[in-house]
Amino acid sequence: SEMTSKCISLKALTALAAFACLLPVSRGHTIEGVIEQPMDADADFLAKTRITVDSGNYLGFIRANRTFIVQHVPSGSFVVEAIHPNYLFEPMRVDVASSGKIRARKLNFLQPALVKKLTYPLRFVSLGRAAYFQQREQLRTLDLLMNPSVLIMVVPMLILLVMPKLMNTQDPEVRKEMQQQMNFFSNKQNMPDVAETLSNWFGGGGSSGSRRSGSALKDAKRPGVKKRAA
Amino acid sequence: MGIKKNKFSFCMLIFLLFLQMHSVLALYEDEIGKHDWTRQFVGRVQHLEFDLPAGTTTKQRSQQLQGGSSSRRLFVATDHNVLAAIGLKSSRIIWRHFLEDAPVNGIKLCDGALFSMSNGLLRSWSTSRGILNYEISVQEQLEAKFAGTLTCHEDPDDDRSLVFASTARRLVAVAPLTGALEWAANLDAGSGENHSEVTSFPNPDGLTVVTFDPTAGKMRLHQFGAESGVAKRTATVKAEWLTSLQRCAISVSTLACLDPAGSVRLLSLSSGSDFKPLPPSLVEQLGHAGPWQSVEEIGGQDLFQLTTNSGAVVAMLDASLATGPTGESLPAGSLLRYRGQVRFLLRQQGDGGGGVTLEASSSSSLVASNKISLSFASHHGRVSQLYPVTFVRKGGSSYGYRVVMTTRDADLHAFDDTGERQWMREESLAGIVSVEAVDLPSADEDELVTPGGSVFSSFAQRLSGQVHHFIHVLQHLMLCWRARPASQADSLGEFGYPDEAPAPPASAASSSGSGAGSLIRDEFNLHKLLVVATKDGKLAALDSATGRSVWRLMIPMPAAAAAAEGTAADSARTEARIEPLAGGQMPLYIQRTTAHFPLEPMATVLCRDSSTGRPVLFSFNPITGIGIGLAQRLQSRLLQALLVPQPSHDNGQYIRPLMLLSDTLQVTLYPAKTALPHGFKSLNLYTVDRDNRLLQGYRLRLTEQQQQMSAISTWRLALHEPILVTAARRPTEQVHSVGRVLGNRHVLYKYLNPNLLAVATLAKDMVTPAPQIGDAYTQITIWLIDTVSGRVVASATHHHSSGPVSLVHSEHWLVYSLWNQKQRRFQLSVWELFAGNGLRDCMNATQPIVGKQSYILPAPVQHLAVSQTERGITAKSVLLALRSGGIMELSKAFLDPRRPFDMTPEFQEEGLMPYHPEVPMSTQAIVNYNQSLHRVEGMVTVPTGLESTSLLFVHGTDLFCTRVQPSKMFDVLKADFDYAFIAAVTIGMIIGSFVTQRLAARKALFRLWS
Repeated sequence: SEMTSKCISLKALTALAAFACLLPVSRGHTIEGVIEQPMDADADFLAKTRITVDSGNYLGFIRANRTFIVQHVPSGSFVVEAIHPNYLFEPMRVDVASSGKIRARKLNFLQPALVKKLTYPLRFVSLGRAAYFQQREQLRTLDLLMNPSVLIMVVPMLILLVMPKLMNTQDPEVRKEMQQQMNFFSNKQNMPDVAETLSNWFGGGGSSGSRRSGSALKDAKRPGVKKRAA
Repeated sequence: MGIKKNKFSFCMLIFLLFLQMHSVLALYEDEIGKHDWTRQFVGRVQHLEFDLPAGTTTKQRSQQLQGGSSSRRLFVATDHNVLAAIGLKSSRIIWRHFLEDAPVNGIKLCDGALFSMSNGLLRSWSTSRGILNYEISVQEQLEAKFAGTLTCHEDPDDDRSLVFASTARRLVAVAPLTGALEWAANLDAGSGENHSEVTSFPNPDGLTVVTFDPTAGKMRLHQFGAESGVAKRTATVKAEWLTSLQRCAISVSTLACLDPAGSVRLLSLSSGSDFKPLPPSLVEQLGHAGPWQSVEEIGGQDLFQLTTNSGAVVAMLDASLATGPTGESLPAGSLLRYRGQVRFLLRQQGDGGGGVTLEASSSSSLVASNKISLSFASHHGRVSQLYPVTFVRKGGSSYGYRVVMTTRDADLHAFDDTGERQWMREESLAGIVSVEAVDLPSADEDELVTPGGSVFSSFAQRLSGQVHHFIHVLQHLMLCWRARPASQADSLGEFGYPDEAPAPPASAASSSGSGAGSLIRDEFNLHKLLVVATKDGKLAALDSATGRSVWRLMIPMPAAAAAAEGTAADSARTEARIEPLAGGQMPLYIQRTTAHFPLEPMATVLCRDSSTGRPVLFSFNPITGIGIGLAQRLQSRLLQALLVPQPSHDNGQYIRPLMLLSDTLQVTLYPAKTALPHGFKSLNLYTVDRDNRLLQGYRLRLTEQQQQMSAISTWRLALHEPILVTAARRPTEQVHSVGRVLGNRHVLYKYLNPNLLAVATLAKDMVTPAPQIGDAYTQITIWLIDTVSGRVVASATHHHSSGPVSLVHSEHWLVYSLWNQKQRRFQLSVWELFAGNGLRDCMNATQPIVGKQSYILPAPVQHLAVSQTERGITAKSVLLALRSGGIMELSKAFLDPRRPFDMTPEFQEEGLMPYHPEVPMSTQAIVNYNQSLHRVEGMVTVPTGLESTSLLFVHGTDLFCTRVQPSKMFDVLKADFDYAFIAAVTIGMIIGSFVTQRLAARKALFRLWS
């Protein structure tokens, strides 16, 4: 229809030229479409967007009414992309028949023969802003608490604190059992004291009085230390 | 030992893989511009239009143009097919469009809109934001190449304007505002002639169009009125002597053409039917009979400018051939332009570099005739185009003007009417053809002593070296101190280059290097100088940290040329200039690095003299940009040039000689006096002859007398198919691990032949049946050739495939991209070569095992590159320059022929990913984020002192430089490393240990008491 309308407008064309115009000349085909402007796009959106056909061999630019045309496209099957530095658009495959019939379908590189039709004239809708950047990790208390290693530590501790409260401590049987457990724990007293070793490493640092009192008490329990004290 | 090493590398591999898998290669938003920079260019300006107020005709313009040119813009179309708007005051790009890969035929401002004509398409753009108004196809039929012209017709009587756009076959007249087609006319009336060139010029009534058929030598004139597409006059003129319309200039009523003998022939467009020679009266008046070098239209009033071989310029006014024209002789080296009533005469003395004078004169009293001198640095060369614009000053009492001009190096300059330069755009950097990274001199040099001297001489050398160094540092400090105020003034704009005034070379280094003091190697050698050579024969150094040009230098013409080849220059009839070698290459060689402190570093560029086609060598200091000696023209053509691998230690020069192999198999060294390194015996090299589709290998060796080098041809390999691209491993590449540990603890040893060359050729596909529509399929063959023996190590053919092919070869692998015609998608293929199981071929050479795999690349790619690190420990990344403008970093782990279809625990242990046909695309892997880079010509990666980091420099229309870390930054703490947090935790732990110790002691005490 475009071709015939052009023919009408060419008032002063010679008869020969008019005849040539009516013939299906190989002037190439025109791909048409529209692009949806994202809501948060800036004023330069239209000028910065370009439509490429066949990896940039044919170009289209966006007009102020957001429509575009790509001219001089020969018949064949092409990938049509809308390219903007900040927004992503899904590319499409456009098949141009030699009769000038054009259809658009979903681009599928894995199954090129699969046809999933899309609307024509093309309609590009932004998939959103391109995420070029990684989010900086921030130290958040919740993240720290939800950390698996923290959870492994904290949950048993909570159970250890809460369970005795839940149990009936008045029950003599339970009490006996607990006593046993406590004994088990108190046996651990013989284990080396981590805190003490650490403070020994750092050469002490707490008030000397308390340290002496602490070590004096322990000295009483361990005969080997006496020699050193002497 | 070997096992240990393997174990270590295995651990390293696992560690690096771990790093890779669990981290996305991406930037943080606050890192924008921290380690990267971009510089945007447009290219060499070919068409320029000044913005004038909308909706005015020529008559009204002079009244309306009120001194506000400072806020105006200029529109340019360039050799990169870029259409852009540049601020006349700020020099910034306001908007920019990359048009199709076809030359822009012209741009015109008409009725307040900008029109461009290229590729048979007339486009109208809004001037303010660069949004397309409309687009009209001028052509009825598709052609491979469109010639075209564009003119704007403004009727002085009514306000009706028309835009005429034409190709060689069809002319359309369009109403500028609406884009409505007023009329169209076919220019070839089916005569069977092949008119492929066209030029046009507006005349008072309408338009004159001249089309030309170069094969038949026939020219046709058409004269159209503004109102209809019926030609008022059509004439066919024979011009068999004319080769191209580019040797012609058209004006209102005359067409002037140069014939092969260099004489001017004129054709009257209104009445003439044949070309006439210059009238004798005019020749007498001009004082020159020719031969002429060029003819140019300059004022829109039948005014032509003729240039002689010696550079003299003569303007010729030819109002009408019948009455006899008036002419005037202008001094040598002049450019004349008319803009309205004002005449601009630009005079360049000598080679014009450094300074020219501009004379503005007018018959009108509004214009004060004045003469100003425009000065610019000598490295820009002569002025090549002059674009003046006049405007009425505020109050309307007088005219002012601005001058924009391009110089031979493609830079764009703007001057005001006091002769002061407003700005300069370094458009020459859009034409970079080769890049070489140079390490900056280190602040404390260790290699001050040459080995092999006596104790005392070494001591003396050391002392003198230290003193030298101390003085050097003092000089640097002085320079810094002196340059400080200047550098503050410099930092006005982002890249606003207040280029230095012409200065002798010695002080050029100091004035250009306001940051010269800061040009000292940093701790990790991340800061380098990128020495670049442009296609216009200019050298420059860019600071890799900021992108600023540190120095610029035009490659000088060899001096001996003019005298020796005076006659040759006459016949060539073109101005001699420096240009890249055939194939667009202009290699740079670093002959002496900065590591030999008292000796200055030395780099050499190999280029060609356009008039004789002879190779030219020029050496310079890559840090300061000062030439070392003069440019040398070689007497014979070169087959190959290559740096000798080791520097020669003789006489303490540390120069790596450049070995030149001429087409007569003569071997010479450059510099000529350099001795060969001790123990040098022979050297193998190869040549790629694209025209004859031939690869050839040569061996260079010392003759018996140990004095002369001789070359013998060792092998020839005729490929019989067009060679598309070749790629070889970088000679300096480091390979850390020689093997790959498999899941079952076996080792696959890499096939690390350093002499491999990968070649891609194109041929007709004989296997795949041709498609129903379109052309028959082609096939791409990839060859791996041992360049010492000429043996084909491996080859493979991709049926129904075509270019563009991009190849990279590194370590033991090869990655390339191509277009699959049948499936209509881009494809990325990888080969990995492993040492074979002892199988030998007929030439008794071991055959490698080649693993191959291909992937679908979901986006078109223009270039491939691979990251380079100092020791090669870090995993490699393949860098893909996508057509959409992104540079994507893709870990080599995704391109691995061992990626299995079925995953087994063994493969899992090896760290292999299961095969997936599509290459994963992620926006986070785009290293240049939203700074799209179009028309990428090349990517260069440079190792740095940090093993994790490699510098990436991308050149094309835009420049971009960033750091690439394929395995993330494992050797330096991250920029966002939380020192405070670590310190707080440590201190907290210490305090906690003391507190708990006290608490525990108290508890123990209570327990004892209880």
